[in-house]
This record gives sequence, structure tokens and C-alpha cells, in this order.
Amino acid sequence: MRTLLLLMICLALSGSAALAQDARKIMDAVYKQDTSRDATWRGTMDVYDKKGTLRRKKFTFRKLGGLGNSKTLVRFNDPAEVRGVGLLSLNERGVADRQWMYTPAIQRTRRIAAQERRQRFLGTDFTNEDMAERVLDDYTYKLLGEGEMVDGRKTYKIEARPVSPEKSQYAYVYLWVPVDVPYTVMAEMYDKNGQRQRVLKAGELVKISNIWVAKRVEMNTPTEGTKTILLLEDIRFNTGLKEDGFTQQALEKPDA
Amino acid sequence: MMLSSLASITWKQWRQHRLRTALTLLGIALGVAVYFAVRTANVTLLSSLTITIEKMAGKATLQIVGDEGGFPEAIWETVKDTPGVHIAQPVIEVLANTAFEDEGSLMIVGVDMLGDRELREYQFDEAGEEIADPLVALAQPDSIMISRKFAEKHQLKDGDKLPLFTAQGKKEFVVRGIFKPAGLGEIFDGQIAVMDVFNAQFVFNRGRNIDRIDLMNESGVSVDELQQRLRTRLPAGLEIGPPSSRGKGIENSVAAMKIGMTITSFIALLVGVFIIFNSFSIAVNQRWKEIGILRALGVERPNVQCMFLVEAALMGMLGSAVGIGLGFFLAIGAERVMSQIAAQLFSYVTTQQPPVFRWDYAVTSFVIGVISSVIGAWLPARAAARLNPVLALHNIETRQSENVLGKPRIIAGILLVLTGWALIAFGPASVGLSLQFSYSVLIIFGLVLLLPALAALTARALRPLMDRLFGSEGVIAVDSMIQSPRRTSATVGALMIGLSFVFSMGAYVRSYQKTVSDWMDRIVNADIIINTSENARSRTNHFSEDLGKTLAAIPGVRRVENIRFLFLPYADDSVALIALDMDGWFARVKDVVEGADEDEVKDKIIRGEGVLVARNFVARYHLGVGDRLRFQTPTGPFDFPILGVIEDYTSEKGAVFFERELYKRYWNDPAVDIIDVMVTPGAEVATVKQAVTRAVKGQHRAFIYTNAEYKKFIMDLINGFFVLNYMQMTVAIIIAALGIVNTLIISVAERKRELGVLRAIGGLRSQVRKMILLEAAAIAIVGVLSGTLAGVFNTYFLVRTAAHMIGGFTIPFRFPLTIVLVALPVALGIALLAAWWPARKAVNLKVVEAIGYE
Repeated sequence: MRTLLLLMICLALSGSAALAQDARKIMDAVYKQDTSRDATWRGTMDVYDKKGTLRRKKFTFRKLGGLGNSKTLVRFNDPAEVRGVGLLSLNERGVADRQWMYTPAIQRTRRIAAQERRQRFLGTDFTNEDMAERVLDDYTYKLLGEGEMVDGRKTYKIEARPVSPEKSQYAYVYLWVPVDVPYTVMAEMYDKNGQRQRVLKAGELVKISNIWVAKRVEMNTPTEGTKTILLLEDIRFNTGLKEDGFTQQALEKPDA
Repeated sequence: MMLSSLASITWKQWRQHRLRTALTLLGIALGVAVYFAVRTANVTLLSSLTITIEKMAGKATLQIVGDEGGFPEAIWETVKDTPGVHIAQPVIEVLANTAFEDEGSLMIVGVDMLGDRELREYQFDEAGEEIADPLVALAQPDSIMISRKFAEKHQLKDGDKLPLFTAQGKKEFVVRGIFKPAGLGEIFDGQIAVMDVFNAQFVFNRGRNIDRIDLMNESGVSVDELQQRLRTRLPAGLEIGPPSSRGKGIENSVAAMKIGMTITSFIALLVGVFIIFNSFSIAVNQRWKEIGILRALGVERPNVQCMFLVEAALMGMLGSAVGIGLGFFLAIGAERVMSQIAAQLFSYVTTQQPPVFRWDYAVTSFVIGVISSVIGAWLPARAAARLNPVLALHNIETRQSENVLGKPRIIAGILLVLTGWALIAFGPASVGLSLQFSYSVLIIFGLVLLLPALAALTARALRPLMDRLFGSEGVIAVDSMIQSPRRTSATVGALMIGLSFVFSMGAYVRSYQKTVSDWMDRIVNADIIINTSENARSRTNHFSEDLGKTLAAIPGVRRVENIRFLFLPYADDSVALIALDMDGWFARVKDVVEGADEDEVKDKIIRGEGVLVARNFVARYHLGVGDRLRFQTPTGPFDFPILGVIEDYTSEKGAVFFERELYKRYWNDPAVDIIDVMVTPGAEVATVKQAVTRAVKGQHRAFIYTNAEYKKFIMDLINGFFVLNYMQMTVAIIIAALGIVNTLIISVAERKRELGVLRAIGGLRSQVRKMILLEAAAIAIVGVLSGTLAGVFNTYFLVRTAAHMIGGFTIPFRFPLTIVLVALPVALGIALLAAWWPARKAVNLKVVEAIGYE
């Protein structure tokens, strides 16, 4: 769950409008724009199945550190069945993410095993691969065009291909980055058969503490007719979160 | 050219004697059918068990398994961190009971819901492939995912409640996923559910233990290499091997059942062989004159022998082919019974499978059928080949002069019997059961050789009685037997083999039942016994100690004792472990400890300073008082001295008894399998049982017995074990009956001329009929007597060798008097029925035709 939100950070653009025509430079700006030391927000996650049935969860999110060296803690607080469930993730560049989950009903913290990449993350439309923290060098980039309009913004269309294709379920990803706002507002993920697997849309862009962030993120799975919508509120950066708030002990304190 | 002429003679014979040919074929077919069915049922049962294991294992290339109590979850971390491990997943298996009426058990597989998909195939119905809300399913310990078949059976859907009995009592689970009948959903006939492993630990009171780790190796590391690597890293006592090796372990567990079945299938085959022997002996008799003519025309001895042997081989082929087909269907029933036994006695659940047709088994059965037929026909064929053509061309009476009562034959028979007996009594056990089984075969062959003499002797003894009871017809009937020892012994032989099998199996079963019954009277002495399963025990379903506390508070309950009953790996096999409150148990049993001072041993055992072992454990592992018993436990090595030996029939694998607190300390496992309840003096056991039933009703799935009921329950389980033997006994009786019918029909046909003469000199039809029926009755009496004799030897083999080899048990020999007494009228009935048709045929003979018969 926590990494779902990290994905958004990965996609966020830096404050200055990147006018560079080089795709890698555009994406470099995207990855570097989040300069925060820590972040917190409250979120709502709406998951719609193929029948249109909605399952809603509410949570709080905390992050300490930047890309490649971050710690995150997500705590669910609604509905009652998931209240107190926590997800702690320690991300370190070059090392596989370490994740733990705490379930208050059995008062157990469990280490989350490495997951199958294409598997959905906790029933959302995000796969485990979508949730993993990524860095600029994980992909090669190619500028496909300029001028396509997305949500009323003129964008660059960039093709990103994984450097290690065998490690990814996707063959390539199309990214749309507004020419005036360095933020990925749309992404389409294609599998090895060229079939579009997922579509990500980021909307309601706001700039808080000089950091761009989308308050609404929607991930669609067109092949299955399902979607997940993430709504963020009360977004705050650099509030002085401490290291001890990101330990297993902290994870096991649902009220913390 | 010569052989084709001989073949045409054979074909003519078959056509002329259709009934005899059909009955002989049926005899071979039934023998082969039982043999093939037993093997097919065995392999089908193992396939059912293996398929279950494989489906459960998913793509796992290795499994790490501890004993039934499981092992600490911390080992999972070590495994995950071992280089070469691609994925490692913890598993808990629980055979839970549902609270539905008349519902069987539900296998609950606890897996890591967050990481197990890579290893196992799940196909969920909702939203394509997903559980409706995985986060809720993980967060709520009452979450359960069930198979579609189970869901449909109980009309359950997502979000519905599913009541289950757990160690903590009845609990309501919530269905949060329904998976399709593929992969895991295929096994246990759909009686399967999946839970998160950590939730399963919680609700089934498993602490931080798991039952198994399923893992896959990385592509660059071989399975063997990883297995070695894990061995060096993990504590001893854990089995590391591919899933298929677990199948072998289960095969070991049900070995006793398999061996028992194999023995009886061989006996059925032996009866088949004897029918061939009979049939060909008589065929040779019938064709004596033809053989004489053939020999006189220059046909050489080897060709005559060859003619009979080829005929036998042909019969063997036809009979075996029919037998294999028949056996395949018999296997369906046999496998069901075996599955039931596997579940009831060994606590293994299987996934029902159609019988597995194995070509190698079919070919083996076919070859064995043909070889058996040739062996059965060998002596008669040899006799035919050696026939003196001059003698053969004499009339039928001359043929009877052939001496089957010669001294060499009798001496050979006695020697074979004595050798077989001596080998059983004094032979080393190390030669293996197959060779030991041949000792019993030696005795049977010895008795077969002695049969003509035995038949003549018994017939002579019967003569005065027959004279007094039935007059001249009785005397003629007995004289006819005396004058035709070969013919008589052929019929008697079929009966003897069949009855010896019935007597010996019956005697063995009775001996075993009586032994176990006496043992239970000494050992099982609680007033009320509460079990977790309707079977002997449950591997996965346990009570908590809290239930015992609840029961202790019931008025009329004086004392409650908790017992843990499980199997542990030991010396490449397994051994039963019974951990109980020794002080309470010792207070109620007397003179149970062998090989040491009982009082001293009791004190030490109660203090947890050592263990008791069953007598068959001592025999199996050659350990005794003073030796040390070692197990690997979750907390380290368990190393205690054997302080005493007790007579015990809990398991054919042997059993170890020690103080429950000692078990809890080493295995860190407070689970309870059986609760013994003692009532206060003066309290009515039935009343207390009712109170206990009320206390557990709706809260626990518990099976409550009074002392007598529990003993009956155990005896019923034991009887269930012998159901297969009863099935085989039935087939043996049918084969034996066929043998009687066959030989009696032939016998009457052979005596056509003699009977015609009798009629010609004024014998009434009723007298002829009476004579034939009386002869049949006399043959039955001789058959029962010889069958009893053979049965006694065979029982001796079963109790002396087979029981010891299979279970290390010492079972005292008990003469099966009741069975013999019951068998006599049954055999008489069969013989009279079998003789009825030939008798009818005989009285309707046209005298002139009959006299002219040659």
C-alpha cells in the first residue's frame, strides 16, 4: 500500500517547467522534483471491481527520505475490518525492498515475501511491479512526440523501456508529461504482446511546499474492466518526522 | 504339423467339455483378477495420495517437513535466506470439522496469501483471479477461501458465514473467496479451503509453528545442491526432499495394509493354480485313452507334454486376459476400502481417483497367470507324457490303478510340510516376507502331495459312519472315494486351499482381535474417552487444554487427563508417540511394565526421567531397557533412556510413551488429541457422559465414548482394516467352490460307465443320486478336515511370521473352532449344490449309452 503512493512521487515533476527536448532530461526532472525530507497525507482508496462494486479504504501515509533511500509507513483506519493494519517499507537503492505488515486482530507482524511482479497488490489495480520504487536508470527513454493534449495540457509523449526486460511484466510504457508542468499526467503500460495492460491518470495537480503532487490518481485495467482511484488530502511536506516512527515497534502501535 | 494336430485335439476337448473349460478359465480369471486388483488398488491409492501431495505442493521442488507437531516458523527465515532459494512459503494443514450436518472434514491449507501465488495454482472466481478484498482477508483471522464445489454444496457465497470447529471451539469463519476446481481446488474432492497461514496459526492454536515449507530453487541451482545446502543449515529432525519423497513416506505408513493385501492376493492366485492342477489332472484322466492312441501312433512324450502345457498356456492367456479386466473393476471397490482404511487408521486423506491402469502390472499379471497355469498343468502333463501306451489303452478301471498313494509321494509331502513348518518356526526374520511366504507355500504343496493319502485315510474312517447313517449308498460313495484317490484329492484339494485360506485368515483376525481386546481391557481404563476424530486420530485437529479444564468442572468428574497422540519420524520410518499424564495412568494399570522393576520405573517415568516403549518397537529397532531413545525436537535433541517395555498394539510401527509435561517441554506443543475422564465413585458414567456431551455440544467437534463404547469403536476400526481380507476371502471361497463344481462335474462324467453299470444291475435313480450327493458330502467333510489342517499351518505362519514381520506384534495362536464349525455346513452346502447338477445328469443317463462310454 505504501508504495502505491511512492509511485506517485516517482511520477511527480519538479517545480520548474522542463523545456528540454531530450526525453531522459524530461524524466530526470520528474524523478528529481520531489526534494522533500518527509511527507504525510491522508488518502482514500476506491477499488472498483468489474461489476462496478466499490470497496473503499482510508489510510494515512508517512514517508521519510528521498527516492532510493526512503522509509514509508501506511496505516489503514477505515473500514473497521482493516483498522490498524500497517505496512512498513524500507527502500534502499541496490537492495530489494523490505516490507512488513502488521495485523492487529492477531497482533502479528509479518515479513512480506518478494512477490510475483504481475500480481495485483492487495486487490488494487496496481501490480507489485507498479508499486516498487523505481529510479531513472531503470528505463531507457525516447521522445515520441510533442503537442498531444491531456486534460487540457500540451504534453510530451515519451516511450520508456525497461533496461532489464526480463524483470518486468511490461515491454514498454508511454508517458505523457505536460510541457509546462513537469509531472506525468498519464501513463500506458503495454505487455510483451503489445497489449495495453494498464492506464494511469494523475489529476488535480497542486504545488505544495514547492513540490508538485497529484491529488487524484486513477489506475485502470482495461482488459478486466477494473479501476482504482486514489484521493489525497491534507498533504504536508517536511514536518519533521523521526526515524523511530518507521520501525517494527512503531508498526505495531496502531495508534501511533 | 504334429503340434497343429495336437492343437485340434485340444480344441475338440474344449468344445466337448465346455463347462469344465469355462470353470477352469474362471478359476484362473478370478485368481489373476484378485492379484491384479490388489496391485491396481495399491497403486491407485498411492496415486491418490501422491496427487494430493503434488497439488498441495504446487510448483515446489523441495519441501521441508517436521513431525506432526510442526516446527518453529523461525526456520522459514533461515530457508529464505539460503542462497539458491527462489521462493519459500510456509504451510499449515488442518483437517477441520465443519458444523454442517453429516458433513465430512474440510482440509484447510494455511499459506502466505501475500506470496504463495507464485508457488501454487489458485483460480478465484471473483474479479477474474482475485479475492474480493485481499486486505480484509488478511486483516481478519476469520477469513477463509473455499472451493467452488464446497461452496455450491452448502450454497455459500462471498461474505457468508462458515462455522468450523477449531481447537478453541466452534468459530464462525467468513467466506472471502471462492476458487475454481483447478489446482488446489481439485483435491479432496473439493473439500478444501485456504487461509492465510498466520491467521491459521492463530485460530488453530498452532503458536508460531508451521507444518511445512514449500520452496523452489533458483534456476542456476540444482535441487540436489539446494537440498544439501539446506541440510547443513537446518536443524536435524527436519526432512528435506522433493514432494515425491513424501509420497514414499506415506507409502511406508500404509505398508502394513499393502503387505497384508499382497499376501492374500498370492493365496488367491495359489487357489487359481490349484484349480488348473485339478482341471488338468482330470483332463489327463479323461484323455488317457486318447493319449495312449497318440503314443501308439508314434507321438513322442515331449509332444504330449507340450500339448497339455500349450493348452494350459492358452487357458492361462484367456483366463488372465479376462482376469485383468475383472481385476480392474474389482480394484475400484478395493481402492475405496483402502482409502477408507488410510483415512481411518492412518489419518491420510486422499483425492478420489479413477483406477490407474498400469500396463506393467497388466503384463506381470498376465505372465503370472500364464506361468501359474503352466505350473498347475506341469505335473498332469508330465504324467500324461509318461503314460504307458499299453496301460492307457485298457479300460477306465485300469486307469484308476495308477498309484497316487506311493511312499515317495507321501514322504515328499511330509518332508515339505515339516521343512515349511521348521522354517517358519526357526528361520531368520531377516530373509524378508516374500521368502518367508514361500515357507507357507511349501506346507501347502506338501499337503497337496499328501492329499490322496489323507483323503483315503479319512474316507476309510468315514466308512462305518456312512454305512450306519446311509446304508449301501453311503458305503459305495465312500468306497468310490477310496478307489479313486486322485479324483477325490483333486476335489478335496480345491476345497482345502480355499478353506485353509478362510480358516487361517479367520483365525488370524480372531487372534488379533482377542489380543487387542485383552490388551485394551488392561490399558484403556478411563470411564469416558473424548477423541478429536471419528477415526483413530486426527493429524491436524486438536483440542486445547482449556477443554480439559472445562470438563474437570462438570459435577461427577473426578479427574481429567490430556493425551497427545502423534507420529514422529524415527530411523527412516515413523513411530507413535503417546504423551500422557503418567501418574494417573499408572494408578489405574497394574503389571504393565516388562523387563524392569515396575515401581521404580513408574516413579522415574512420572518424574520425566525416561520413556516406555512398546514390545514391537523393541523387536523392530532392536533396542531394550537401558538403551537411549533420541528424537530431534523443536527445542533441541530429546535423549532419554528406555526404562521399560510394555505390551502395546497402538501401531505396527511401534510406540513410545512418556510424561506429557516432558513432551510439552521439548516439543513446545500443548495440543490435546484424546481426553480421558474419570468419574467420581458412585457417579453414573452415562449421566456424566451426557453432561460432557452438553458441555462440548456446539462448541467442539468431539467424539465421546464410554469405556465400553471406545473399545468397541477401536475394534470396529480394526475390523475395517480386515474388510479387504474378507473381500479376498470371499473370492477365495468362490474360487474354491468353482473348483468343487468343476471336479465334481468331471468326476460324474468320468464315471459315466460305472454309473451306467449300476443302473443296469438295478440301481434306482434315487440311489444313484443319493450316492453322488453322499460322495460330495464325504468329499466336503474330508475337504474341511484337510482345510483345517492346512489352515492351522497357515495361521501359524500368519501369527508367527506375518504379524511379526508387519507389525512386530506377537500374537498368540488361537484355533478357529467357530469358523471350522461354521465352515463344515457351508462346505457341505456348497458341495451338495455343486453335485446336484451332475447328480441330476447322472440319473438321467441312458444306460446303454453310459455303458458304452469310454
